[in-house]
This record gives sequence, structure tokens and C-alpha cells, in this order.
Amino acid sequence: MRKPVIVDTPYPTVWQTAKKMGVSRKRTLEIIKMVDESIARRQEKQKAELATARKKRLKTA
Amino acid sequence: MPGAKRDSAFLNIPYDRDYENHFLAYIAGVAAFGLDPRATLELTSGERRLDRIFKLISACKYSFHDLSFVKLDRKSPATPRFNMPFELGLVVGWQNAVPSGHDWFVFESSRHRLQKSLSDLNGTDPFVYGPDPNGILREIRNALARHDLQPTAAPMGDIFENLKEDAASWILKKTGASSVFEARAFAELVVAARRSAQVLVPGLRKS
Repeated sequence: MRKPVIVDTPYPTVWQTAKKMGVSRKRTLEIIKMVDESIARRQEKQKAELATARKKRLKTA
Repeated sequence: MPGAKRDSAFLNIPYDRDYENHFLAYIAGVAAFGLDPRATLELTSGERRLDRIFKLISACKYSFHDLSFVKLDRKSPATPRFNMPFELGLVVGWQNAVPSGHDWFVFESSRHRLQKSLSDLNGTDPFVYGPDPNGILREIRNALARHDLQPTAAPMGDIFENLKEDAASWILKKTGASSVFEARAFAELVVAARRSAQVLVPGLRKS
């Protein structure tokens, strides 16, 4: 197995990536909003699932 | 490597509907490491295609070559797609003739398949990811490392899930693209993956 190659370049910002990929500023803002909302929804769902699992554990204990 | 973008990685992968999740996994995995994926999907007409492909590859510091789809297609006459091994050959030839620090990685879904399909690469360890696209994330973690922020399985999986469950369908709807293998959809997926990485990779959370 070969050794991993070290990536040492700084993380690009969303704006740098959007510019490179030819995505407009307006569209980039829409994508940011969509991604942030999607992540927030997922995190809420995960929190709710954790809470349910905790309740179940307490009930059975 | 004059002109090569140190934050760009060329994806040499099949553009096939059965491969959509694999494609999203590569975008997510590469983005988690702070690299922007590039692909021949971006190429528009103009110069000879081969010249444009080479220009795109040589503008990237890294390349990922997935040879798992080198197989006969369903359409008659049944023909294997040679583009992926050909583009890998371009990189290997280029790096042997004019070494410039470009790092290339061969990915396969099955162990020992490469020895059979491309024995000229004996001595090169492929990154074998198995049947599940999540294996691609694991193998990208085996291929790459960062000293500052090493992305772990959880955020990489979350970036992939975000692309797969939400971003891809939203982008297809908004752009009117019929698949993720269209230039505009690809460009927007890359931006979505970059934003996801910015939010989900611990230590990167700033605006």
C-alpha cells in the first residue's frame, strides 16, 4: 500500500470554487442557501433520532 | 508544473447513469480534502477534444482514474469504453516523459481486476473500493492526507449524503439538466460540495 499523498494547498472558499467553475454570484448564493438548509434539516433529524433512542434506552433501563 | 492548479483534481470516471452515486462520492471526497474536482464534462467545442482533455489534466495537480467500468456496454455493437484507460495512459506517459509532480491514483471496484484488464500497471496498487460508493470515500482517505485538517469518515459521508439526497435533485430541477453528467450540473455540484465541506469539515466553519 502506498503512502498517502499530502495535500497542502489551502482550502478554497466557495467563491473561489464558484469562479473557477463559472457559476454566477447569484446562483452561488442560492446554492449556499440550499446546502445550509439541507444540512440544518439533516442535523435536526439526527438530533430527533438521538433523543428518541435515548428515551427508549431510559424506558428499558 | 507551470499552470497546474494545486487545488484541482481531475476525475477520470465513466459518465453512466449506473455510476451517478460513484460520481457524487468522488466529488464529495475530493472536495472534503480541499480540492476542486474537474472533468471532461466541462469541455466545450473548439480545439481538438484530445488537446482540450490534455490541457485540463495538465492544469490539475492530482488525477483519479476509475477503471471499474471498463467493460462491454449494452448497446450493439458491444464495445468497451477505452476513454478511461486512455486518459490514464496520457497521464502516465506525460509524467514519465516530463515529470512535474502530478499525483495520479487508480481506483477499482474489485481486487485483482486491474491485473487482468491492464497488466501493464502491475506494481501499481489500485485503491479498491468494493461494491458500495461509500468505499470511494474510504479509499480517497487512503490516497490523500492533510496535516492541517484531516477529513474523517463522518463529514465526508455527510457531504456525500447531502449531494446525493438533496443537492443533486435540486440542481437538476433548477438547471433543467437531465443528468448530473452535464457541464452546468457538474459545476454547481462542485460548488455545493465546497459549501458542504466548509460547513461540515471541523475547523473549516467560517462564513
